[in-house]
Amino acid sequence: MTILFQLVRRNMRIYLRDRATVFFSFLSVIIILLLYILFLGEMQTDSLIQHFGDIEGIDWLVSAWIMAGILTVSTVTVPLTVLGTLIQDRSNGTINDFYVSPINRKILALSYLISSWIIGFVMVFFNFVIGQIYVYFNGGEFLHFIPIMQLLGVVMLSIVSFSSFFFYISLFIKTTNAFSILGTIVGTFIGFLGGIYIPIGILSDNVQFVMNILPTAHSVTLLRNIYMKGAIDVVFSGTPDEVFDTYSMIYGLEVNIGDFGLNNIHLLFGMIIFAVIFYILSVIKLSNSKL
Amino acid sequence: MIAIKVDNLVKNYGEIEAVKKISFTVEKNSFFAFLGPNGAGKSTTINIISTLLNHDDGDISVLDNIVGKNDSEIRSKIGVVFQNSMLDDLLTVKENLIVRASFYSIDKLRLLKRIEEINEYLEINSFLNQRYGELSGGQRRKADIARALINWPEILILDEPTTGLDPKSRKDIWELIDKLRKEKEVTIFLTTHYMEEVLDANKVVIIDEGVIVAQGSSEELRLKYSKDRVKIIPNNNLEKILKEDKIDYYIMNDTINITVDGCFKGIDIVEKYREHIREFEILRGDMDDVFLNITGRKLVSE
Repeated sequence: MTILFQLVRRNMRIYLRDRATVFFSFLSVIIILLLYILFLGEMQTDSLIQHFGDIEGIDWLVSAWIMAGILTVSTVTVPLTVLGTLIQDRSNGTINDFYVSPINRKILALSYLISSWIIGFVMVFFNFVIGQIYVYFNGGEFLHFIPIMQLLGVVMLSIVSFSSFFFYISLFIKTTNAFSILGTIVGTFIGFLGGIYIPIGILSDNVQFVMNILPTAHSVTLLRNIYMKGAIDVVFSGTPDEVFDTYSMIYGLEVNIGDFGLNNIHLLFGMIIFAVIFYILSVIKLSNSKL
Repeated sequence: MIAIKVDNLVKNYGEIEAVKKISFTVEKNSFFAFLGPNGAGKSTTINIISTLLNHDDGDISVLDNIVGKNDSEIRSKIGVVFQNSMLDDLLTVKENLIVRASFYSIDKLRLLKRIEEINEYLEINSFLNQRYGELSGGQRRKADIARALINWPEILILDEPTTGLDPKSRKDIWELIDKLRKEKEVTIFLTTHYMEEVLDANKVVIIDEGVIVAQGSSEELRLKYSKDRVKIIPNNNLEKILKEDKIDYYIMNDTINITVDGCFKGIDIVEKYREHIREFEILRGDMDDVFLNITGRKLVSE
């Protein structure tokens, strides 16, 4: 236990003391936020007003939608950056210093995962607090205790899923250079995969199918439904059901694979299965090779 | 008592044979030096002994534990100083040591005592709370050695510990290893390509292209493979006279060099050609000569 604790603390310190790393783990989030403040937010608001009329709560709806998306993005990018410590340790040989010590290699591997969970959670939590303030100043309300707990639960699950995935990928990456390329690719695509730059409903069926089987869609959909509940109640209170159904389909408040609509349990299981698959693959990979 | 026994060790990297059936033993509490040029197979051998790298053939035991079978026992009894710095730049030296100490189940109280003991040799207290990344080269090396000593290992393995250091730091590091060896019962296993670092070694093994080309104490090797020589700055036509007298010599940096069997033979030469000599030196054969004579190449390429 002491070894695991010390290793996790070490990994966390290394991440937190490198300000550039902390900044870069939020780069995608910052870019998305800027795009929304500059023009995407206004475009979305205008388009909604055009469709549904200038009804109360649109700004709240749009800001909650974007904040839910940003939360999902940070559950992907923060754990990924934290796992960079593993790549660094491998490329500069620090891992050899661990390997000549009498420590269990599973504990060593676990220490990287646990630190990505903890830092991921803390950082995304800060992100959430800032998001809440943003929503509040855009005419929204703060979330209540139970939705906050539900939301943080989904956030945690999302972090565990993506860190499990990226941990497996990290086992194949030997250099920090390759890792930063991965970071750039993920950072570029995550805004699209989460259906944030462009609402998922206006993309072609094939693209939607691919996006919907990925856990980014599962995570963002669950988070949106929790985050936007208050705004939805206000905006869609006086409109026919079809109006909300259309909105929900275009703006990714539901996940359909083909004609099959996934409910919350399906979405949660989707993320759990994703996490378990890559965890098992990592264990298999580690059983016949070094970290 | 034998600390390390290597028997017919073979290691290949694909087609390349890095280590070709080498065998040697290291006595307990001795100072063992592994000498060879870059790429000779020194680091490969060290990595295999310290359980980092699998080997293809041969048997290795470290303190009666078999490499590949009892790796965990071996790891708890050795300390390794790698060629490159392995501690975390963003942590202080103390934080680094606390993390590494936990690997050996050393609690904080024992660790503080251990750091005090290590400080007697390494004088690390002055930069204990500084970040490792901010230290000078010499301080970093001391911190690396402190890390390797954190479990008071029975065998301290040092892979080219002074490479890249300035002369003063090299001397410091060298003195503290020497002190450690004399005062603590620890076996020193050193790899190096600096011949002056192996002069005190109880045993020197010379490796070249994956093969052991010679082994023995540095004195034995020197006697066997190198000769003393007289180095002369001539006055006038000494070369011509030497040719007439059929004495073999070679020119190096404008000096005339004559190899001799022992330094008294050198004095004879100096006496005989006194009037043709401006300055002279009688040099003992060194490990560079040993290496040159065995392999036909210089140890450190210039």
